[in-house]
Amino acid sequence: MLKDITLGQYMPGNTVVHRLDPRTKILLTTAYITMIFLVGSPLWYVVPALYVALASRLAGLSFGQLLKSIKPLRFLLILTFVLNLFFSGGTTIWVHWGFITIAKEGVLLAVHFSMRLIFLVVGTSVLTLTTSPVALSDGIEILLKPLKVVHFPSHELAMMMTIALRFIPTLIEETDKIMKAQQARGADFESGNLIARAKAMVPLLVPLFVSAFRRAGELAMAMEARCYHGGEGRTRLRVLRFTMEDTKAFLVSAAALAVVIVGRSLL
Amino acid sequence: MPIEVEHLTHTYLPGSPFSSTAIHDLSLTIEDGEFIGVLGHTGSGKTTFVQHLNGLLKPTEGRVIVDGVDITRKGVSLLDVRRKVGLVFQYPEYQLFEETVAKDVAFGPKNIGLSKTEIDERVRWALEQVELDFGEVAGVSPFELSGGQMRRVAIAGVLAMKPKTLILDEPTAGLDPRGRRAILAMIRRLHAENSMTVIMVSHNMDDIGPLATRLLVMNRGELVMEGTPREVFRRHDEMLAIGLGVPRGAELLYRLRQEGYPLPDDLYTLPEVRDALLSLYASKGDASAARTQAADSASPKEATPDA
Repeated sequence: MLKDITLGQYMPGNTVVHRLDPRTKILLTTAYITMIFLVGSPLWYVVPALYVALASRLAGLSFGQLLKSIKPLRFLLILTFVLNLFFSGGTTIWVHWGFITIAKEGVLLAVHFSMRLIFLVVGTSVLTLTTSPVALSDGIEILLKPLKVVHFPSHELAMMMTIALRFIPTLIEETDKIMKAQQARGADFESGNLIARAKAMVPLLVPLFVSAFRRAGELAMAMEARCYHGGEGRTRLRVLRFTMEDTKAFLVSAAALAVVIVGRSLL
Repeated sequence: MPIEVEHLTHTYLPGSPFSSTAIHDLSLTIEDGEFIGVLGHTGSGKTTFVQHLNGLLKPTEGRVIVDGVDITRKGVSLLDVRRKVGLVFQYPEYQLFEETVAKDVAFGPKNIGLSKTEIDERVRWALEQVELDFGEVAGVSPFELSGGQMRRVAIAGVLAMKPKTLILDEPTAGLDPRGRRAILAMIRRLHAENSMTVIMVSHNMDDIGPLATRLLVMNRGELVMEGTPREVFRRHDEMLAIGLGVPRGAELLYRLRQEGYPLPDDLYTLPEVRDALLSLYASKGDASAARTQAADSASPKEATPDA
């Protein structure tokens, strides 16, 4: 049962998109999200569609991989579509059947918001599919550095993210072991109603928490023993540098964003 | 209640690029009342092997038959299997979770669905078996106990299921010498007095040598040696080649034989090694001098079992 948990969705590779500086990718994803919210009518989703298509093509991602990222969202998508379809009112009535009324405006809005959701998820998953978790937290750390003036702990935040990611496999292993140990004492995690199952988690969660705290203490000690004292004056093994490829990516994205803004003003 | 293992093969993550075979075509039978020592280097598959004996892992190929029932078949009551075959994990103290020691030990019997009085009786019995005082520890939180005591509580939690076969995975790992001796003495007693079949996984030859009636030596997922401790420990070079060793007594005699002394190769317990050395001295003439010298060389060893 625990075999299904994958760590993030990172797909290792060596394409232009993989090689881009994580900072570039985070910034461009932010720009992309802005672009989506600036799209004025369903037709203009052509621009982000082309943009995502280009990015995933360059990253060597298949259509199926992108589609998989929407899967967990399917209920939210259906709900968004249905709610907008029936309840957004409008004047041009297309269907009127009993208490159900579908207006042209409703259909447009339903499509609009569903597209927005789909493109948001697909676009951001290009980022997570092509950037390793460690590179991501590195990028976030540097991008958040200017916030230090307001005492924002950007280094600590990134370090916490890195450590959390590092310990996911360890905790999964630990969970598996404790689960087996309790099963050897006749514990049953797989049957019974919801309440019985929730109760069955106690023998698993208590030891897991205890050991997580123990590990945290040990790790803190080990880090201090190696003179870790926060981000102050700390140098990095892999220094991030912008390259020509990053510049090109910025230019392409700026162009796409410009098209969307122009398109919006034409409406 | 014999346990039969037939052509057991276990592959982790079969069919994926990460697949690895932990056990390869292992067959054996464990009879009632045996004390089996499972030896092997880290990663040799010993833990994976014992987890098959109570159905925690399903074999990729092969069968495991406990008490005449093929437990790898579908629809077999695993609870029933786990009542018969108790498994104490490595560092079992990390599985404790209840508010009190008594409640934690009662977890297993409760899962079986025993009556309250029966559960209470078993908790008392199990704590007594691990040499803990019921009145003293029953109401205490297990997290307030010392490491060695926690381990005993965890073992009591498995004993409370009253298994006919008890499996212990590295029961002495991480304990100090006194805690180690206590746990080993306890296991010896469980085997002798309650006529439990015991299967003990270890890589410490000195722990397992004096206890086991039969040894299984595993290497890279295969059973490479099998026999009484006497038969296994005389194969010094083979044991060394797979990253294991022999008990200190056997090692001493081995080195002396290398030096050219005529000593037997099938001794390993400290008393018999002492006697062998004594008779060697005696045969050289001055018996009384030999006795004092041999006693000197044996006693410091006895005092430092971790050497």
